[in-house]
Amino acid sequence: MRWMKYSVPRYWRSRRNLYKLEAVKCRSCGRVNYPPSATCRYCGSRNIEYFEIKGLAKLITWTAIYSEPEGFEVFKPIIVGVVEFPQCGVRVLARITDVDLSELREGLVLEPVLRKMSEDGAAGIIRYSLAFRPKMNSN
Amino acid sequence: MNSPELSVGVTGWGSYIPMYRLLVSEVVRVWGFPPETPRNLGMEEKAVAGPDEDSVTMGYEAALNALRRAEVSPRDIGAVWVGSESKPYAVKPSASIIAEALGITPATMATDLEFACRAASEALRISIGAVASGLVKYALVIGTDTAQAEPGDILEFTASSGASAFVVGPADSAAAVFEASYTYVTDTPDFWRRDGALFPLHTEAFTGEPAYFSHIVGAVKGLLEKTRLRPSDFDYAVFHQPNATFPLRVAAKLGIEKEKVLPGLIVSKIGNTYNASALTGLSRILDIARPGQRVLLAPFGSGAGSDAYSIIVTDEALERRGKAPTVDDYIARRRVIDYASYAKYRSLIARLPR
Repeated sequence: MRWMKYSVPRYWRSRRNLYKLEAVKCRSCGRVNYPPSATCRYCGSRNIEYFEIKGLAKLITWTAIYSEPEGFEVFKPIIVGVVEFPQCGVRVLARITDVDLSELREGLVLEPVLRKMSEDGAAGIIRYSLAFRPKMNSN
Repeated sequence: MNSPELSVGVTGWGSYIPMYRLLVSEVVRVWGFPPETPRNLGMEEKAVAGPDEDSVTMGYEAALNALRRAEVSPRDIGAVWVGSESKPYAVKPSASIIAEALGITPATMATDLEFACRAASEALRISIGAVASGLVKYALVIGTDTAQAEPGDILEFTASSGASAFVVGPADSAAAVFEASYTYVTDTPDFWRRDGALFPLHTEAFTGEPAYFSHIVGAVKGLLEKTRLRPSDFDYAVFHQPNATFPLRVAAKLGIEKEKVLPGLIVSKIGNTYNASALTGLSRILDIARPGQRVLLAPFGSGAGSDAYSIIVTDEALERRGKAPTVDDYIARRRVIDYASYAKYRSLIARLPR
């Protein structure tokens, strides 16, 4: 196992949450739980439903990471931000991509994209995950 | 004989082009090429995938755009076929990652195909068979590449990154319908990359006449004979775009006017996106064409082969156009980088193994 520093089962188990943004709505108290959980963390009810978070998000705050974890070397500086989906109020901590630090400002409109998150060396697995980029101009 | 193509069409189409651009003048500056070299290829700049992008992430976004236009449920997709010569994993399908991320799994076929630049084009032909036979309702075909070029090789002016995808489904609800298709394949060693080799090798002049030109001409002539169509029956012609001059030369050989080729000829702005090259040209045509217009599509792949398709645009194309970013939207989203950043983004700088 000398080539595998990442836990493959852990990545595999979490792929649904890495590729898609999902939250849980409590059918008892109506509140939204993110990250999803089987029990509502506000009222304790197990009467919940999953939904996919869609649409555009807004940048709330951000930082740049210069001391990167192993496997993230080529992405340095790693820009990480808190982004908010206005419709459901969910805030997500995620990597921000296709942007320079100097271009970031509060309220910047972002859209989710699937990107490489990190690589386990040259022979191990590649982890993919949603990141956010400034919304592209269209039509 | 009832042709299977007539019952099948493109339900949705979509492309993706990364935002970074390398100007050809940077390759001239770093490697000492004569300035006329890129001019002779008709090249201005090429698209470069960022450090967090690969064939999977680009193919995913192109496919997402195709699904947005197709407006079909991911559950109705019965096959995901990815044509690429730059798979992130040598062994482990890109198709299953993309299918999973799009919510198409598990009741689907999913496979990567390899035939240099035309694997995705063959996937398109396979999907016609699969849809026409009723084996699947819809198939998702993706051409995606982060094309490799050895630093200093003339290929560096053109080898670029991008993806295009098509949801192939029943003709009655399609944005464009297939009329006929024809494939022409021989064993011609014009370009290859051996297993484990970092970069491809190619045979300069040999890549033209016996490879690109004879195979595209063979496929298009086969299509014309089969359909009794004439070059003048087509409103647009899209060929594989290894540079900006070959498509115009092959059009001239076939008696097709330059004006029919130029709207789908985008290589000078984005480079040769390999499996996405001709398919992104088709994607741009579907972005702009009028209902009733007939498109000739002829991708080419080294090794070597070409497929020729006759495709007719329908009213549905107008309806679906605005549901995803166009090829021109992606061409306009550009940020110029220097050669050093390009080298880093494409992993061309030596580093110790981690």
